[in-house]
Amino acid sequence: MNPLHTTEGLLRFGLRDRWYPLCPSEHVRTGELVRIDRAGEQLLLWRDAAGTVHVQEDRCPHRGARLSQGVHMGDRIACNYHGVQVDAEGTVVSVPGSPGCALEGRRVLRTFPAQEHAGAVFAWFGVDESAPPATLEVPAPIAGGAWSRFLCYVEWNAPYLYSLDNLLDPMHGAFLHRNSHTMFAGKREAVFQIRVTDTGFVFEKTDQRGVNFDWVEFTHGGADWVTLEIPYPDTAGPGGPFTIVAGLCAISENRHAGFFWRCREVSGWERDSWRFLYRNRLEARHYAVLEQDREMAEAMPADAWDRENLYQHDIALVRMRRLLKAEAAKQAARLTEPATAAPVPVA
Amino acid sequence: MPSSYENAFGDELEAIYGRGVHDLPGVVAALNASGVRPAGGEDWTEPSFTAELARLSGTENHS
Ligand code: FES
Ligand SMILES: [Fe+2]
Repeated sequence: MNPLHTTEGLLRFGLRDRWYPLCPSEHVRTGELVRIDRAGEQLLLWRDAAGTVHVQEDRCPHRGARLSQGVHMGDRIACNYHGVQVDAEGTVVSVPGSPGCALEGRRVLRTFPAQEHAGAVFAWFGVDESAPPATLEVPAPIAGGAWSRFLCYVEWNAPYLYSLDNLLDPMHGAFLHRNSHTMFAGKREAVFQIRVTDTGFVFEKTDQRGVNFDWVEFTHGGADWVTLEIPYPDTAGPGGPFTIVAGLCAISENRHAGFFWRCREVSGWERDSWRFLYRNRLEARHYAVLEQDREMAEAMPADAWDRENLYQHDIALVRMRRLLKAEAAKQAARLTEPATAAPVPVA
Repeated sequence: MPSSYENAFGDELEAIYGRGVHDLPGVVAALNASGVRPAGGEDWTEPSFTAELARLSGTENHS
């Protein structure tokens, strides 16, 4: 059975009916055919002559060869095996070996709605691939306006769910990152609460804010986002706290892509100052902190979830997992339900 | 690779900010009390300091 039709598989590779960030925009260069695995799908990414990015299944509709080994023809791809040409809509526009054959004009290549935003390529994977996608809604720090940002892109050898757990676990800041430039202060004991919002929930300390990694927001809609804030020391100069918007996408069961938009609400000379300091030294410090997370996540046992003993600091994980599991079960049921048969007329 | 001037400029900025000086006149005055000078060797002014930051901050966000 297709793992993407099972509750377990959907959880491991990523639920459907979502936008996922696939890769940084600059990974898809004009004229190139880019082959990547994401969210349980084998994908081909390319740009047409106008620069618009397209995301399709990397599988020739003729016999299944990799279209990514084919020829970029500006507005279409020609398979290198027998020359079949497919356009950005997934329609076979030419079968050179057998002109006029029935395959011509048919829309047979799976094509996923794609968009670029904040320096990344996003694609929509729907339960029903013929249905239009939801609007891609992004958290305020990467929506534009008064925020300045840098995208940090990583690939880790761990299930994306471990990264999601890590992001929804603010308490690890005071321990794992205790010697960092940003998370050295604050209490090592905390009581958390969950505050439900229109689009998800906020998980926050009840007795400390703005000192360490004190709150995190899970936004769940057309895409899943985690937003969190970490105070900057005075040395970072004027401006708001350091804010991270994170998006994750499975590459395989045990590998995922992580997008960490590092943001600050800051303008004018203060903005230039932060951007200079970020490039000159802060990025390396932030990266060292992220490496601590990577080392922890990559070394976790494969059956970590099976033998946990959770406590109060973990209630956001429990809530998030419950939400994803329930939705995965619903989607699996929709994906496997038998096609409704026409009613049998009663004589 | 950042130049030694950029690193020294960054060191001084961090030190000044670290003392809690976050206002433009204060930062410019503190920078003038340090050893770091623009390429021409003259004192910093608010316009020359903000222009230098704009130059060093590099390319802007792309959406
Ligand atoms: S497999 Fe692609 S043209 Fe035959
Ligand atoms: Fe962390």
